[in-house]
Amino acid sequence: MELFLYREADTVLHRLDARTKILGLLALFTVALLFSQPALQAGGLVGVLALALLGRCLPNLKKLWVLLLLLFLYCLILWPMFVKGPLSKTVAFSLAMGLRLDVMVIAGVIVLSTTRVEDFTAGLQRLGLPGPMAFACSLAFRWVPAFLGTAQAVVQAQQARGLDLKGGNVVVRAGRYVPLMIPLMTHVLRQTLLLAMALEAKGFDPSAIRTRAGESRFTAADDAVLAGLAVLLLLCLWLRWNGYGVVEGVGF
Amino acid sequence: MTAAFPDPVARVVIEARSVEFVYPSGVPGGRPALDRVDLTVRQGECIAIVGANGSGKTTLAKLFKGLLVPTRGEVRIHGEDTRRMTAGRLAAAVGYVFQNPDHQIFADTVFEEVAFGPRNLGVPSHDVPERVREALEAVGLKRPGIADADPFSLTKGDRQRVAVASVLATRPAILIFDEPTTALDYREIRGMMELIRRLNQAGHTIVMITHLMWVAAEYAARCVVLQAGRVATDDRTRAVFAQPDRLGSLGLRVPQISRFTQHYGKTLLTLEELEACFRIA
Repeated sequence: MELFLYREADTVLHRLDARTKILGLLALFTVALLFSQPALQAGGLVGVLALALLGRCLPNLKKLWVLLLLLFLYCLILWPMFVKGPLSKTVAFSLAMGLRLDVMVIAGVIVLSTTRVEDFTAGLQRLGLPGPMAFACSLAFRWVPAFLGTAQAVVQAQQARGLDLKGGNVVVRAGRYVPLMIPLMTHVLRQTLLLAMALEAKGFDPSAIRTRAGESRFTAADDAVLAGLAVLLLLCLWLRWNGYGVVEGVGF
Repeated sequence: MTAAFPDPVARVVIEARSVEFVYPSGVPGGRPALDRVDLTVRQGECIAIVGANGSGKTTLAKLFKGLLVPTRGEVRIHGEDTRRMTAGRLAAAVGYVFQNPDHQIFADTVFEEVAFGPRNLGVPSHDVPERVREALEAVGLKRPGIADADPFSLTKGDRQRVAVASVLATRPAILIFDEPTTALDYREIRGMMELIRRLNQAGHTIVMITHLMWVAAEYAARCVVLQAGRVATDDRTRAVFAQPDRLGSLGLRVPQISRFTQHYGKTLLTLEELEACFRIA
């Protein structure tokens, strides 16, 4: 299983500074959260898909299409149950909510597909996130594959002794996960202690000021992208302030 | 003393036919983990699978156990395609002891840990204690109170024995060991290998993956060498070890005793064999 989303390529998005991409992600999230009209969210979807094409991350989206479709469908089905208003409006609102989630997930996938984990965490730190938090973030990224690898070994070890995870009611099925969770948790706790010792042995201090080889710098492209994003954000805030882009007559 | 080479007319228990396996996350266009592997294992054999890391040993063992299914070709256990066998049927036919016992131990007591397999197979509850006792005895865990001990409190060697016992409790005729000596000290290695020998003598067919060439020399009658996903050599261990240059080109080194005796035109595998030669002389 391919666990990291990063795809090696030389595109405009790959060349942008990680800080630009993180700020851009925040800006896109804000824009997506501002509006509840499906046409605007659909426009946003077209926009992020164009960005995905530009950053050559369509194969990653292809891998996640089931997740994206499910998110969209869940929103479409569940939101009308929780909002009040005329049917046509609640459906339009739900449609927008589904598109919004997909826009946000796709934007996140684009950033992770075009940014190395090291650059991403360095970017977070240079944006002012405290060192220990940035380090915890990079550890989380790094540990996912190790954790899944162990999980796979544990599942195979128990299946080898005849454990069948299929069939039975919810309680029975939940019970069958106990033989998987205990070895997995024990392993993770052991590894965590070992990692802490290994870091300590190397004199690691997460709050110390550190330098990096090949520290990236803002280029003219970064400046242009950030300026464009600032304009887009201000424009959207102004539109929303003046009442544009929302479905009227829908409430909780 | 090496185990006897099996009767060539013994029943075939595992058969790999033109097996190819590609991991789903493998590099597109990259080489498969296993490529056109043909291998037959007969009842009662004790086979060592050796080879450099990444040569496909564990992949082959997992295919034998049905934990992986071939991308091309087929693996048959007792004549039946592993694709068509259920988890229960496979667990009853083939036992697989993983390299790290801690990947499977979860229960509060050794008894519960060993009883896990038989219970999964639907063994009647009144028969389970007998299965557990028999399995613990087979692995040499006979000291009083061991069944009630917390498996996490045992030494690595004993945890490995619990893992073997929990596999034996399902009474499989074929046993696969993936590097059974990893992280064990010399005494524990000896203990584990003597256990494997006893299981083989009791009629189990053994397939073991190892990096220790002296272990292969001393305990396996047949040796399969894998290289880059293909079977490079498959013969009696003595015949395989008689080609030190060939093994060297595969990244392997025959034990000192074999290299020493090769200077005198013979390939001996153990010190006991050399001693026996001196006695005769």
